[in-house]
Amino acid sequence: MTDQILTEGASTAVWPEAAVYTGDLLQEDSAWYERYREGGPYVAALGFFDGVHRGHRVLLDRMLCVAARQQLTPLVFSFDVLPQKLDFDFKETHYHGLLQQPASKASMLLQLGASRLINQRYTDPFRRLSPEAFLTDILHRGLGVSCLVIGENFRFGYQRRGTARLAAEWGRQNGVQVEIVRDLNSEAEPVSTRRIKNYLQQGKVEAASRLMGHDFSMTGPVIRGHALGRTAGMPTANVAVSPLQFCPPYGVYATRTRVGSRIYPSISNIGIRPTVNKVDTVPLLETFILGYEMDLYDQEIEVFFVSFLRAEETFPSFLTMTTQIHEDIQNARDYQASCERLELIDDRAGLPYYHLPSRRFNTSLIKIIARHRITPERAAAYALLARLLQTGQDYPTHADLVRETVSLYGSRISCHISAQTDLLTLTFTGESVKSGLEGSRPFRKLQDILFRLLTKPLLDDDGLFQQDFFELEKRNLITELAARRQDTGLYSLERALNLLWEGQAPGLGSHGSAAEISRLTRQQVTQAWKELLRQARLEVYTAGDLEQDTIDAVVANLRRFPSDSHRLLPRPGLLPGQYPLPQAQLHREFRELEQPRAVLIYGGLPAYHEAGAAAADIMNEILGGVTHSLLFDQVREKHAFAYHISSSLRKYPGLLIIQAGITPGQLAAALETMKACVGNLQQGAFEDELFMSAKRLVKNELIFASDDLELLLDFLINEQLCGLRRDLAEAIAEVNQTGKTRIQELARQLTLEETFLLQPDPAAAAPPATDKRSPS
Amino acid sequence: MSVYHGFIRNEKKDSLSHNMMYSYRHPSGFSLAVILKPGFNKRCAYLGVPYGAIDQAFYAAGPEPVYPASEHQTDLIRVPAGTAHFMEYNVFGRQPDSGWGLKQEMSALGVEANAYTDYAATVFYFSCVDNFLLSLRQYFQAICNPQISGAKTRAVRDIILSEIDMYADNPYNRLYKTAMSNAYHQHNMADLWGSPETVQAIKEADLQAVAASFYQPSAISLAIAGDFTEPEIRDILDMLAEQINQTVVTAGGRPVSQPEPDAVRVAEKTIYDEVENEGFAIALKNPRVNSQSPLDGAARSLHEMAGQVFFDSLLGEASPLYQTLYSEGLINESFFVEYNCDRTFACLMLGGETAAPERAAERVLQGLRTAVLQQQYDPLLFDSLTRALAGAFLRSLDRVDQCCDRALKARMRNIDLFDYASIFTRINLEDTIQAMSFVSSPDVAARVYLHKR
Repeated sequence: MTDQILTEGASTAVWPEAAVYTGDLLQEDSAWYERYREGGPYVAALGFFDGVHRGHRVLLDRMLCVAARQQLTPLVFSFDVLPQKLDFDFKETHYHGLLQQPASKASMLLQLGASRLINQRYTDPFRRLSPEAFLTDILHRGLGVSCLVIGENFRFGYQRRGTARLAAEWGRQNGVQVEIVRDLNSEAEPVSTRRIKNYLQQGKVEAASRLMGHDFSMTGPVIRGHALGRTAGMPTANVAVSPLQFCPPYGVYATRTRVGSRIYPSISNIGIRPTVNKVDTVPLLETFILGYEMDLYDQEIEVFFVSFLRAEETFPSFLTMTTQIHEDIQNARDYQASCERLELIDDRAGLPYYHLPSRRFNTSLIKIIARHRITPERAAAYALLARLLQTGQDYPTHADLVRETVSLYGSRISCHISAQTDLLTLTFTGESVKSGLEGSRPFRKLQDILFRLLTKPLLDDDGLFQQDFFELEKRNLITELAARRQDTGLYSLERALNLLWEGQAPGLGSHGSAAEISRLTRQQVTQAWKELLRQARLEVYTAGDLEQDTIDAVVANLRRFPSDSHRLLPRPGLLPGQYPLPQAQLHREFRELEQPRAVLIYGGLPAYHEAGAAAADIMNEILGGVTHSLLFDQVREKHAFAYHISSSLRKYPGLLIIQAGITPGQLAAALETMKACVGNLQQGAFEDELFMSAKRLVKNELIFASDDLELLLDFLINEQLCGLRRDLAEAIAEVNQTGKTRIQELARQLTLEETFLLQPDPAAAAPPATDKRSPS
Repeated sequence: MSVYHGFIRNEKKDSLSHNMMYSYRHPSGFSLAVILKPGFNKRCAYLGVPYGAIDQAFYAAGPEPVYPASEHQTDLIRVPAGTAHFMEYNVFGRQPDSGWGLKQEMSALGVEANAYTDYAATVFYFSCVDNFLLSLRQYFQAICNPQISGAKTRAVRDIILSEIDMYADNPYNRLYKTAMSNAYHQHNMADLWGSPETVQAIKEADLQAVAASFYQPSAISLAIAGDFTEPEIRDILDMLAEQINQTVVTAGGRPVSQPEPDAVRVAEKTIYDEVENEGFAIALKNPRVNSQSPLDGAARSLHEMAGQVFFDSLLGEASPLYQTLYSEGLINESFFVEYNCDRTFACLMLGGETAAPERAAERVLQGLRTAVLQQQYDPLLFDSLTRALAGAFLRSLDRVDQCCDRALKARMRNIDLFDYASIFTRINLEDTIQAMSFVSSPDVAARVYLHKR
């Protein structure tokens, strides 16, 4: 892939249509520019993007979002060298080399969604371009950029005179949209390449990974060494350390090594090996893959640095060194088995498999997640598939499946369907104890069962879902939808969301409609199943204390799915998408019931992929989460206007929702009080004690998640989907840093978009009290 | 065994999970279970009061610090249905002067506090990361010294009436409760929360009587779970001993119930409601478990678990009967099989949504009785389901709050959480068949059908 990506720059040798351009734009002629503009118009993100850390990702996400909304081609404009290197005051001692090799950076940027990448040669003439000339002649008129995305502190142009403010002013004058993105902070400081390098220098590899959103890595072909490792029973794969790249401190690291699409736990030494080498001063990266033997010579591997174990040292003897190495290997194994972070295991195109290692729990989990764009037909088909795929060729009846899972110490398989605005998600979950009393391995079998259910469903000879079973489950699904309507609380919420976005994707609901389900044919649903296997975004997650061969078994099972690089790829800001909200609406429905229901939906929360999630959580707790929240206190405790009152967030559509079961006769007063509570929030009229209490509870919820394997896994999966990629420690730090002022700022952006009321039918005769309330 | 502040300590290690627990008994009757969860940040406390929804009649606490009280020593007190639930709310209710209640006070400490009322117990619980000792002190004080006043009672009553309205809109809640109620003559199985009429009838004196008899250390059990150190445990024992010593400890109250006839009260009933899907529920009363022959300790746990396994093997998702009824469209995934068991009652509950309530109920009952009478048992499935219990138990230990809840329930039955491992091994088909043969009697089933109005 590296060879395909990079092309060298002389103008005649480069077709503008290539994804990556490395050359000198000042040398290109007008014909070249004309051809390049044909691929546009473009939205361009500017920067060097060394390391493609989380701060960079915010810019990239904004670029992709604009690209989707305005039908522009996303372009990353970068340079072949760090521009600051040519500054007069540049200090090599502060620089320490690139965090990421150019080919690796290019690959990552394209994978993240950029359609084009420009690596401009940072020549002296280019360096001397004024900011205005760069913007006007190169970007706008030259390349056809109609929207620019830059960081708030980005500097560009001759003598770095170009600033975000200058760019914004230029954009106004020239009719070019300029999006300025705030720096991403972590622990109250901006995420930056320098901070990452500092952490790596200090051996704080985990902290560096947290800022990057991925692990620092080194890539290269495996070269032959002196086979000393093999002599000690630990054959290593050796990679030369590039002089261009930042080199972490010499020593021993817990690492993970990519070979092809598979990533293995490993242990690495980087350094000059002083015990056995007295001559070479060039560092070497030596990696021993844990639990696997393979011939890697001449193959390209990528070594990800996960944790610093110890510094390199000189041992008095080969034997002493070997003893220490064995101890290092055990430490690396222990670390890798208990680090409780999401590790990529396999990454065949469109089919990522992650594992969350932990030794704290008796339970092991597997989740297979399928995602696709929501449409009315697909929602209905997927809802039915969730049922149909709980039997299969190996388990022709549900009873057969349950018998099998029960025999595995009560293992469980379930399926859940949900929607994040326009993204439909089907999640199959398997849960089991990791080992049985007699040494059996229930989870090993359970994951096999789950894969077989998905890939070998119960089909008739005509290759379609078995007729009787299909019809039965259709009826049952319609019954289930009816039961959802029966639940007045659930119905009110779903109906309110449906009315808020009537006719748009987010209003469709994850289960489809009874009408759509009734129309479904076996052909359609069989086709949906095939589409799910081939085109949907599929992700596999396991969690717990799994043996290596169980992980291998999951990888082998993953091969049952067709590999397809054209699978749907959710991208933060793009999919799940963001949809504008209508103006404030009020809807009422009537039915026979004792307790009226009210749902108030507020829009105005920040986009789900933007930093600052903690503030929204705290705001929600203050309003209707904690038990002395504004709503609970006023609506329920003080006035008894409602028994149930709470608020919640829907982060993907950016909504805050208040739900209440209202005391009969108090609807108007309850609504007024609820809105007044939001008003109080917006004016900052809440006590410090409530604010602190809400913060504590949000923090505690995060801490509780760390003590629950499934909650922890769900948190990390969600962080991937929304693109924030925080770990729990960072999420907790964000809570700690959130001040009261921020809450008020956030609350002021809230606007009431939808009020839905489910009220007693005034035309119906009230049922006798004894008939309704008491058992007869 | 060791003694600290009067607390006698026993240590146990679970043979399945290798978790460690300590159990403590105080001379007052108070008991404590400590489940150690090394490496976990969450800490939980579950306090159980042995007074629940069915306990409408009880002998008040006796003067002597001996537990339990003799029925001849104290007055028999009757309270309206819903008193246990009312009392639960009263503990959390707002103080008229401060405007804050226990929940709010705990919330200010960063603690999530809640409670639930069961048939024969009320459980108060909280989870936290910090401030555990302070929170436990506050909770313990509030539960052992519930503040009862006119203003508070009025406020609580309004909230409960609102809650009853909420449940009234759930026809399936009514279906379930009607079946339970129709099975029993004496036990109030109908409404855990009471009816609007009975809730209106609850007086301060009723609450005072309940508080004096049950909301005191001699009756209460406590389970805590988390990564506690020895010094922390000693601090907790210090605090509890101090609190107990400040309380006038008497022998706890004793709930009583009248003899229950073997046959159900109402064998068949139809109810109507505004409902999308019709349904049915059947309550099968086990007449051998009653106030004259109550179930206690390990025997109760064994009976309950064996019963659940037995009925799951006959009617659960893995059973041939379930598959037959499901494929005929008579039941769907809402079909439930629950064997509920307490000291003085045991009851099998079945039911779910169906387009043909009467036919579904008849087929289920017929299938169940035929299986029992013709001994159509599946020993392999029974064994698998027993093994599944062990698996579920192990998985529950992964969650601090779940293992704390289980530990409390065990404690309230005078056993320990880790006794379950040996109880699982004692579940066998032969004994269970004997114990569950009651289902073959036609008199023990109360059927209720839910139809659209």
